[in-house]
Amino acid sequence: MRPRMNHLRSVIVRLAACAALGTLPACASPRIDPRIAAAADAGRFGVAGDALGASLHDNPGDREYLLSRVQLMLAVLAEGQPQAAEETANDVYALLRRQGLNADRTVRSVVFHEGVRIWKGEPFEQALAYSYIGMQKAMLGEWDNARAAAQSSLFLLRDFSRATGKQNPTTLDIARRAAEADRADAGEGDRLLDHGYVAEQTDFALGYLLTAIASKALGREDEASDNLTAAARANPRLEPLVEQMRQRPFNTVLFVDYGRGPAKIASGPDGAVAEFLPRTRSDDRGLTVRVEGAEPCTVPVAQDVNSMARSHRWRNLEEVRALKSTLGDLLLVGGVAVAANSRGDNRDTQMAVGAGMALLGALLKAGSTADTRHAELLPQRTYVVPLWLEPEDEHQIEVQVEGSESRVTLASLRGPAFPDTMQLRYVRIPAQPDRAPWRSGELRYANPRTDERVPGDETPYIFGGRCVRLPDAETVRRYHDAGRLTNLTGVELENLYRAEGITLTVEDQRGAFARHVLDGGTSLVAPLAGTTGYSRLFCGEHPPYKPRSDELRRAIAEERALAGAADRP
Amino acid sequence: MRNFAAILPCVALCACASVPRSSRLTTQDFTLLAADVAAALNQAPAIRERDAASPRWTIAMNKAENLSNDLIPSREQWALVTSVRDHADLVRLGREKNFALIIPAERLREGLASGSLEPGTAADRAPTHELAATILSVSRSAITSRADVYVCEFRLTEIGSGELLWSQTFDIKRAAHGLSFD
Repeated sequence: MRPRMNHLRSVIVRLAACAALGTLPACASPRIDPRIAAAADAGRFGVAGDALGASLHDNPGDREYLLSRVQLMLAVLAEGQPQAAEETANDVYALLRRQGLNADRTVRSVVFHEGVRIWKGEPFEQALAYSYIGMQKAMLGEWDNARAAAQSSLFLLRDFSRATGKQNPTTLDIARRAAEADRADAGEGDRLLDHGYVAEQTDFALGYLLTAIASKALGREDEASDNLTAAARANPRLEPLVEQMRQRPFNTVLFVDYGRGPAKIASGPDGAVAEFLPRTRSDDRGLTVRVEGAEPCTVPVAQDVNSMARSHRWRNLEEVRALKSTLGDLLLVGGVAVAANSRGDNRDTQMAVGAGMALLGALLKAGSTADTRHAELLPQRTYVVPLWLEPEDEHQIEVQVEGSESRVTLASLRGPAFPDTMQLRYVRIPAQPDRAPWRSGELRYANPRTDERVPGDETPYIFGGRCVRLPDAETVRRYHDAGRLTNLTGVELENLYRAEGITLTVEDQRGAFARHVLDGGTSLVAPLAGTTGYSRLFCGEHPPYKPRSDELRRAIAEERALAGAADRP
Repeated sequence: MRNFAAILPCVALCACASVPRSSRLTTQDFTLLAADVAAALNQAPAIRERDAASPRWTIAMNKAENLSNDLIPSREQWALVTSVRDHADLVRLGREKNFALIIPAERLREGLASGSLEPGTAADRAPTHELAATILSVSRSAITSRADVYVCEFRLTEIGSGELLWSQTFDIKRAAHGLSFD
C-alpha cells in the first residue's frame, strides 16, 4: 500500500507542479486555413503557397516551424517551382535530420499533451517529406542530393507484432501491452517500447523508386537495380513497372500525386488516441498516361499513404508512451481509491486520494487529447511514370486516374536538353477536378519555358497582352517587330516591372516563393513546363492586369497614343 | 515536495543540454577541409616538383559531387569549392608553382544563362587540369544516436592525357544524440 500511496502523491505533485508552471496546454490542434485547403483542392497551389509563405513560423523553436515548412514545400512543388522551394526544402531536411528535437519537452508533453511538442511528424510523414525533398532536388537536376534525400527516407521501421501477439497491432494495443507490462514490473513498459520491437527494412516503395531513378541518373546502375528490386519487393504490384524501367530507356520521370492524404483525428476515451482516417479512399486504379503520338499506358499505384498511416510501423512511439502513461495512471488511481475506501480508517488519506483523483481526472481530461497536427497537404497516393521524350519536340501529356474525371494535361514538356541526362517532374492532380477548367493543355500565354507563340503575345501581360516572358533582348525584339512598345528599351521595360513591384527571378524574391502575376501576384518566375502549376497558369484564363504604378499607367497611355497614331491614315 | 524538487533540475538540465543533435557536415567543416586540402596539395609530388618557371597549369574545379547519405545543399557544395580555391595557402602556392584555379564550367554556364556574367566571360579559360571532389559517407544509427563518417576524396587530373596526378581522401567524423524520429 505504501508504495502505491507514494506513487499517487508523486503523480499529484507532478501534475500540480506542471499546472503551477503554467504548462497546461490548450487542447485544440491548429489546422490549415480552410481557404488554403480549398485553393489546394482546386489546384490553385500558387495561392495556397502564397498564403502558407505569409504565415510561416520564423522561430525554429516554434511548435509549427517544421509543419508550416512541409506544407509550404508541398504547395510550391505542386506549383512547379522547385527553385523557390529550395530554402524551405533545405530547412525541412535540416530539422528532420536533427535528433532529439523534443528532448527538453518530454516531461510535460508525455504526461499531458502531445501538442506542446515541436511537430516532427509521424515516421510516414517524415519519409514522405524526405522523398519530396528528393523530388525538389531532382527537379533542379541535382541528382546527387536527390539520391541522398531519397535514401534518408529508407530508415528502419519498428515492428511490435511479436511483442503484442497481434499481426497488425494498433497504437492502443501497443500502449495497453506496455501499461500491462508496467503494472507487472515498474519500468517494464518502457523497456518493451525501447527494445521489444523487431527492426525491419522499410516497405517505402516510393523511396526505393526515387533512389533507383537518382542512382540511374548518376550512372550507378547496380545501385539503381538493387533499389528497383527493393521497390518491387515492397509493393509487388510494381513488378511490371520495375521491369519496364529495367528494359526500356527513359529520360523523363513523372511523380504524380492524387487525392487527399489521411486526416489525423482524436478518438477513443477523451480523444486520447490519434487515428488517421482516409479522406480519399484507397483503391487499385492505375494512372493512364497519354503522350501525343504514342500508345496510352497505365501505371499502378506506387505508394498508398492511407496504408502507411494505418500501420503501427509507420507511427511514432511518443504517442504510445503518452497513452501508456495515461492508461497506467488511471489504473493506479482506480486501485488506490478502491483500497482507501475499503479500509475507511484514514480520513486524510481519503481526502488526499479524492483531491488527487479530482485533479488528475481534470488534468487528464483537459490534457490527454491526442495531438492531431499533421501534414494536411499530403496526397493519398503517388504514381511513378517513366517516359522517353525527344528534346526537339514539345509534348502534351495527359495523366488521368482510371475511371475518374481526375486528370491534368501537361504542356510544353521537352526531353532533357543534354544526352544521357534525366529529368523529373512532380505533378499534383487537383482533388476537385471540376474546378480546374485549364485541363485542356492549350497554351494561352507565352512564357519563358516555351517558344510557342499564342495570339496576343506581341504585347506584355501588364500592357494588356498575353506575354509573360522575361523582358530580355529577344522578347523585346519580338514586341518591336510587331510594332509594339517601340518607344521602350529592354531596360526601361524591366524598370516598369520593378516599379510595379514585380520580381523577375527567385533571387529577387530572396529565395522565397511568390505568386505569379497571372494569379494576381507579384512574380514573373514561371513554373517548370510539365507541371500542374504550368498548365494552370499558362493554359488557363486570367483577368486582365491592373496597373499599380503611375509609371506603368503613363507607359500604357503612351503606347495607346502611339498605336492610335499609327492606325490613323 | 521532494518530487517537485526533483523535476526542476531535470528540466533545467535538458534545457541547458548542448549535446550534438545532428551529424551533418557544416560550413565550418568545409573551411577546415579546405585548409587540409591546401596543405596536402603542397606536399603532392606533382606540385612539389614544380616552380614558378614551370609551364602554367590552369586548374578547373567543379562542384563537389555528393555521394554521401546526406543532403549537402548546392550552395554548400559550391562553398567547399570556393573555400579551397580561395584558401590563402593555395593562392600563394599557385604563385610559387605557376598554376591558377579558375571558374568552374558549371558555374560559368549558370552565370551566362542567368545573365549574372557578361557574355564572353572566361571565353579563353582553356583548363589544362581538373581538381574534382567527391563526398561519400558511412552511417551507423541506433535508437538514440547516429554516427557518420564522411570521406572527401580529391583528385587532380591532367585533362589532355587523363592521367591522375594526385588523389587523397580526408575523413570527417560526426556523431549526434537523441531520438531520430523525435
